Amino acid sequence: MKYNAWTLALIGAGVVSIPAVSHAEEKGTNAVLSALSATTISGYVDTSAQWNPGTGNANLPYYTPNGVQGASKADGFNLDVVAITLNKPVGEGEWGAGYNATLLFGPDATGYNPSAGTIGSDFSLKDAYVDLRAPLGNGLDLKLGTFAEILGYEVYETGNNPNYTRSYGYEIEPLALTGLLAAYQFSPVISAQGGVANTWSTGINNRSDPPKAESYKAYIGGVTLTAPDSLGFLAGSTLAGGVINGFDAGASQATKTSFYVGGTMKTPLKCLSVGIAYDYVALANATTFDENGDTVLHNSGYQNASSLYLLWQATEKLTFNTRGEYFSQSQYLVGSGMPSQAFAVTETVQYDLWKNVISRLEFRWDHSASGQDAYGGTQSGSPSLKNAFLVAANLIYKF
Amino acid sequence: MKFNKWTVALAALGVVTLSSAAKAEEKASPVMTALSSTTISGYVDTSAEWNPGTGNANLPPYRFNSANKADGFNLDVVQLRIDKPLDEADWAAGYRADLWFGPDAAALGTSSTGWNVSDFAIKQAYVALRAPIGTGLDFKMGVFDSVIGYESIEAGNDPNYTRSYGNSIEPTTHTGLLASYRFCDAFSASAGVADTVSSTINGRANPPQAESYKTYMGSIALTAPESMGFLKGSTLYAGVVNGFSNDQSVNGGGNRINYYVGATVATPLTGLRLGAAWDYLQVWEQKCETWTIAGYASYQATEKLSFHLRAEYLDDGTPALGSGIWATPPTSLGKVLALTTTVQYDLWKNVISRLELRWDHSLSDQNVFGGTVQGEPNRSNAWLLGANVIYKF
Repeated sequence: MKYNAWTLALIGAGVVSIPAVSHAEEKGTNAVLSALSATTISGYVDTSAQWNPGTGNANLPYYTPNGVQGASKADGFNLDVVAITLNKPVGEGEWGAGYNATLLFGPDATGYNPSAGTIGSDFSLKDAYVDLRAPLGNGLDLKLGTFAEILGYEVYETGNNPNYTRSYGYEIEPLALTGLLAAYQFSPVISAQGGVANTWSTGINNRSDPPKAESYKAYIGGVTLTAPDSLGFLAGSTLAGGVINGFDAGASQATKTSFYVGGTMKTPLKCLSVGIAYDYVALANATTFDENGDTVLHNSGYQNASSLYLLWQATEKLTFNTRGEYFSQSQYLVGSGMPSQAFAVTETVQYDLWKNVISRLEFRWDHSASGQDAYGGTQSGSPSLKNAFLVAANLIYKF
Repeated sequence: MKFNKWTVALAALGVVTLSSAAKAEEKASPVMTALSSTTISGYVDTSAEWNPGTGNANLPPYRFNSANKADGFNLDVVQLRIDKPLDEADWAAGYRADLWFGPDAAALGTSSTGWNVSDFAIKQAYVALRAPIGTGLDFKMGVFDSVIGYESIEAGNDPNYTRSYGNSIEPTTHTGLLASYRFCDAFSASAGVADTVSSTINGRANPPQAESYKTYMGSIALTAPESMGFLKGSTLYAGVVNGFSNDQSVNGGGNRINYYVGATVATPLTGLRLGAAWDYLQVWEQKCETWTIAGYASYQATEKLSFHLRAEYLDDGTPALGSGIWATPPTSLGKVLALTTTVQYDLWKNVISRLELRWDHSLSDQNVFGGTVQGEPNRSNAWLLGANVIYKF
């Protein structure tokens, strides 16, 4: 970019900074025109830096971002993901229509929701659907396409979570589904969702067939309760429950039923909220491989995770978010960084120093409660530690 | 701050937090660009299919049809177009970038040479230029859509949800230079040169061909003037594309030539339009040829309701000789009749919503469809009931 002489003199004197000048001198640019005025573009750039104390990152705890396919985040600087969302809300009309398309680029996009038959790349689609409203009762909202699953306390977008790293509960939930989702608001207090999708697992247009029948689908249901104003300090608190049943076309090839109950509760202290989340996954007919490479069939199995959140808004800009969780699972599901039992404590300090920027520091401790080493080591599958620590910085610009 | 019901429900579920929702629901600021007149548009294309009967291993091989679309819900594609059209200036310049995301992007297969197929594809990306020669000679340099065909690879521009066999044997996109000239209101022509017939961006015919071996294309369009009464606006197209294809799915690829002749005809009956298309493809090395002929009828019954019929005959060579374009498997499609009827009702603004019934029938007295093992079909008929919902922005 070229600057005029007076501007350069001001920069030299420290009176203005170059970024500020850039914005000022770009005022002559023109707006992009969309075919529809209501379409908006938004998104974020998510970056991080991690320090994993100790030597050996071959068996990191299996949580996002550590567990993201194709990503290596430990002991270094990271671009996590760039997201661009094109959106036109459904609007208020009786036969309202809208759409959403979120484009993900970068390491955290790898393997997120690839189409059947494609090879993972630094691009993925998230929440790409047509949004329709039918004038039934209060209005029945329908989404057709691929959309984020409805269960869980935490979400894919790091900046929408209280902590930088995800919980074990998030890890065992489904991620994205392709199908039809209906939502209905019975009253300000109660709303419900129901839907049908191709599979329990991620992957656009994936099918359960084979090995299941062509008609075998995944089914979705959820209810949300919101505390009304008459409940005093509890007003606005929420409690949600849901279930998703279907075929996991991923590595487990199991039929999975995911249950979730969770919510956020206000307290008499305005600056303090408490959150809880419970996730349970029941597996049927999962397959694994023994040391000879032969298939082993497991009739049943489970994973569960319980989390407690304390969210304290200390000042307008300063927030402390604490998460404690317990995770357990069937022995045959134990893998690298994923013991049969684990505790984890996460403390995040967020200070909004820059406009539109989420800036935070996080400390996380994972402890294997199974009595076995689960973390550390320099070879995958040969852990040498029962504890794993992480210190991370996370910067996200939202636009 | 007020949130809509859906947002409150999502927040309650933990899918979004209210702080993020608050930001999302604030009026978005316009995106700034260094160029005026740039526009962004596109669409989100979704569908659901029911393929009666068991076994989707040998579905009719029309474009974008696959077992991963059968008997389920589908995101087909998201298109994002960034465009600055040519204006009226003598030395006008513009550009277009059509970006595809999703399963149909993977099927389009334009990934640059040496890269794996992914959920992202560049459908078109070219610089548009005008030189003040005669009435104005327009150029496109880069990646552009093929000059031939009745149907488009953009579903929302077609009368039916599923594509014809004719569309399926045509090239889709080329990387090269295309010139277009309008001699008068009734007559225009295009001619161009490209690297290959196939869609791989920057693909080359060399090897096996010489480095100078290119693909050549040409087309003409006649438009009926107002003096022709009810026929005014009717069009007649003809075009040819000849060159080398890297697309191994078309009988191993190789040198090929496509011919196309098509027309749309207005009728005295208001709301009724007829169409016809003839496509011919020959792959030289394999000595195989395929041709199709299709008839179209579209009737706009009301402002929102329209009916679209397509009848198509496909001759995919001699089955016993395996001389068709789809020679393996099974051996060839032989002769196929396909009937498609589509009912479109525009219930929502900016949304194309339609239901479609399609029947593909082998006229060669052989099983070419169905079955659970690829290459082992067990039926001579294939049925499809599809729903297609497209939001255009």
